[in-house]
Amino acid sequence: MNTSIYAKPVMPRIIVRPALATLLLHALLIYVLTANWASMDRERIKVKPAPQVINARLVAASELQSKPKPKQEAPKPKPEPPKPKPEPPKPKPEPPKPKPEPPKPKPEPPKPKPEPPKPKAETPKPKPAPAKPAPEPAKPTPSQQSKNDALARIAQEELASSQPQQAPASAAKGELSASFVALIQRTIVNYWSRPPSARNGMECKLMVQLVPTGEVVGVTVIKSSGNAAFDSSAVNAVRKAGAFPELQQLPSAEFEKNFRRLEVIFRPEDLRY
Amino acid sequence: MKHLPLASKAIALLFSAALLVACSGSDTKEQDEAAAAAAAAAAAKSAQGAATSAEMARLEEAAMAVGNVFYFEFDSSNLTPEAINAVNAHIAVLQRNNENVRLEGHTDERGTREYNMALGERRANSVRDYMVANGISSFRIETISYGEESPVAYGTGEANWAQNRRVELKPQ
Amino acid sequence: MKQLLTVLLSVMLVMAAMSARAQLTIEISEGADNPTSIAVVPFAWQGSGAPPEDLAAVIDGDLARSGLFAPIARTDMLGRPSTEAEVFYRDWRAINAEYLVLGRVSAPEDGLLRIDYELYDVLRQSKSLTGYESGPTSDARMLAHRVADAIYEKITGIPGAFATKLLYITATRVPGGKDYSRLTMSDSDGARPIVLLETHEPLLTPTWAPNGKEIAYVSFETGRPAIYRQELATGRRQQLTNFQGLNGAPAWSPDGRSMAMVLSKDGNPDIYLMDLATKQLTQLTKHYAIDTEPTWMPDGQSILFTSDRGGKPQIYSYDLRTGKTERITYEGTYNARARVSQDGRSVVMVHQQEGRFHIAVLDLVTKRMQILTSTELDESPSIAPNGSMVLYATKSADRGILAAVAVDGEAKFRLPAREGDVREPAWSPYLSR
Repeated sequence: MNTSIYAKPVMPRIIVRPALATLLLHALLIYVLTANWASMDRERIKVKPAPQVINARLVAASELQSKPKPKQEAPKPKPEPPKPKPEPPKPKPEPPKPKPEPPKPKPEPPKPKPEPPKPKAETPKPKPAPAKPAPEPAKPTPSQQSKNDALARIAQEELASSQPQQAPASAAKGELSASFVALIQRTIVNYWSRPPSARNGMECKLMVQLVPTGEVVGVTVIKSSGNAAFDSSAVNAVRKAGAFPELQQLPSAEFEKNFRRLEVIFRPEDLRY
Repeated sequence: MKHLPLASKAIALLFSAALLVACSGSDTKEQDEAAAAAAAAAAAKSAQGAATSAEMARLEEAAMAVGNVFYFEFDSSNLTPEAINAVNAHIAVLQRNNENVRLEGHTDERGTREYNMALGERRANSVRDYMVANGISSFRIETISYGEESPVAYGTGEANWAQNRRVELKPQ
Repeated sequence: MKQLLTVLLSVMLVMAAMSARAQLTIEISEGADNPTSIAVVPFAWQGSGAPPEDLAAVIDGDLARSGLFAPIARTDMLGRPSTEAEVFYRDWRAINAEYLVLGRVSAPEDGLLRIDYELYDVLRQSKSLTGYESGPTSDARMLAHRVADAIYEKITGIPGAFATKLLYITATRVPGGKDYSRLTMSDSDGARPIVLLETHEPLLTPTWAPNGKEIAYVSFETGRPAIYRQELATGRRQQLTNFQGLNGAPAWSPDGRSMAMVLSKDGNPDIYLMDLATKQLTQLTKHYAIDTEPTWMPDGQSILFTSDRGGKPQIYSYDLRTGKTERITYEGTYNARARVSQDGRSVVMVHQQEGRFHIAVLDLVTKRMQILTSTELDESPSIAPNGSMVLYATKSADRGILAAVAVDGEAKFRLPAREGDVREPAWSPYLSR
């Protein structure tokens, strides 16, 4: 029975090793996951025009009645551009609109150091350069649809003004992304028609695949809201948007890094309930 | 639960008493006119034996002259001075005959239909109560409300509405 | 050790992959809520003889009235497919159709009609619904409404309420003659009106039994108000009340066994409950003020009613278990005739603001009141069984008409004007086939 004496210590070792390995693995995984989440958080750019719009809706109860008046008679030929609705409130909450361009050079000079380090090895192009001109020449983009065009213009007008607010933490790179994120967001918001079964707080997460032309080539639900009609409305909003041709202005590295795959979360906050 | 009806009746009684007091207190003019009418009615009663058919004809003519429609203010079932004058003329006639009457309460078109049905009843009851207070037996008076369902003036606007807020007195 | 290393390596790879995967997250917290464009292609007729009426147009009309859909005009359609094989998504995408409806109508036997239909998601290029409806030819429009219901439910996530009925009253003036009132029942789109009762005296407060097979109303046909119940299939009717004073505002309980009503037999208007089997009455409210217009909460546990006990008409609730009364409206000086949505959350009512009467909706959870209509003399709101629309009566050029508004206040439509003053619409519950 000597063998058994020898064998015993061996057995635990065999058990311990994989156990340790899995433990380590799990710990690592957990770390990686959490770490990744954190970094994702940093990358997540929340452009939330919602609050303003919510306020506008809540306050203007009377506006609600007067607005539908024109619809009343002819509900069929609903004109696509009810865009003016969300737009007006925007300029107001952003009083520093005229500033963004001129003041930028001022606050930036004192920070020349933080900016240079940002451009990564792969992208030798200094970020600030393409970043600023981008929004402006973007205006006369090749029009794809007149609607999209109008949308794009609106979004781009917003780009400049939203920049200083959106990315206080991340610098130029983030600002550039933020501007295009705002554009994509505006467009999707305009195409999103929520079903009456939608409720505030429902959440549907999509993975949207884009190609450098800005075209949407894939939409997948990665987290369902539990309401099929709601999920469909989200998918259709992206599909209706169809393309974001303005993304062609992005440096290809930037596109590859941030825009080839986009996660889009649909979580309404402005519904009646 | 069994005590509830009694208690609520008591409360209702108290309230209605209070309401009466409040009403008569607030409308001194109304009260004066009511008193005058009551006095006239009493005088008429004492002279009943001597009443001639000529006298009766005169009273009926007076009642005809004031008409058989009594008008009200918006959302109110209080008798206006004009309405009291008109009702008095009819009371004078009713005190001398044995005819039964029907009081039809109406409202204008504003507000909800069933609520107006109740408001029309309130108006008819208000005329009835005044008549009863002046000596007409309640069993001779039938009340009914048509709410806003039987307007005399069609169309919107105060001119039309004022004509529709009314109680009509009709022979039964 | 080697194993551990490889594990570590693979973990790092995963990490890299993950960070490469999720770059940006965009949050969408609002939507423009434009109507969804849908193309309902005229259905192919596969029977013999003359085709029935245009059923695709009925569906088109239903979807348009809901305010959630923008049907595409037939003249804009690039093709008229009737089967899946004939569907070219590109044609529909080109005219910005999000959904496409195809159908075929056949007559499997004499007097019977069958609609086979499919719903296609143009953006995803897939079929999302296949179905059929069949029934008597005389009910062709109802079959079409059911197809519209199925399409509506598939896309919006809530059942459609097109295959339902409306009750309403019309009052017709006869200059120099006797006016008359009619109690009429029609489809939810106002089509196929049937007169259920005609009298020279007022009619009011038509109301549905929860099973949709009976109705109740107030008629003055005897010279006094009385509450009647009437079976729709047989026309058989019964007088339920004949009390001194008011006999009004009947409201069937959700279980169908009793009816709340207003009687003033004891002096002033109070809410009573009648057991429909025994005709026994229970007095619920006892107040010298006006208590009227009872309506049930969907759970059947409490009743909302209008009372001016606070000086002005407001909505109160009466709890049938505890007998407690609670005021529920505080905004404004006139809130009356409540109706509750099936989920028990929204109460629509007549609300006065600056001398004008509007339809307003109160959210019982948030306590928020929203005015839904902008016309001046709006009254008698009635909610669709799916809670999506509120039908109400209003005035247009001094005439009573029926109009509807979406519960969110956005979409509005009017029912086709008919003769006389139209008023007091009552939307049926869901109807069994």
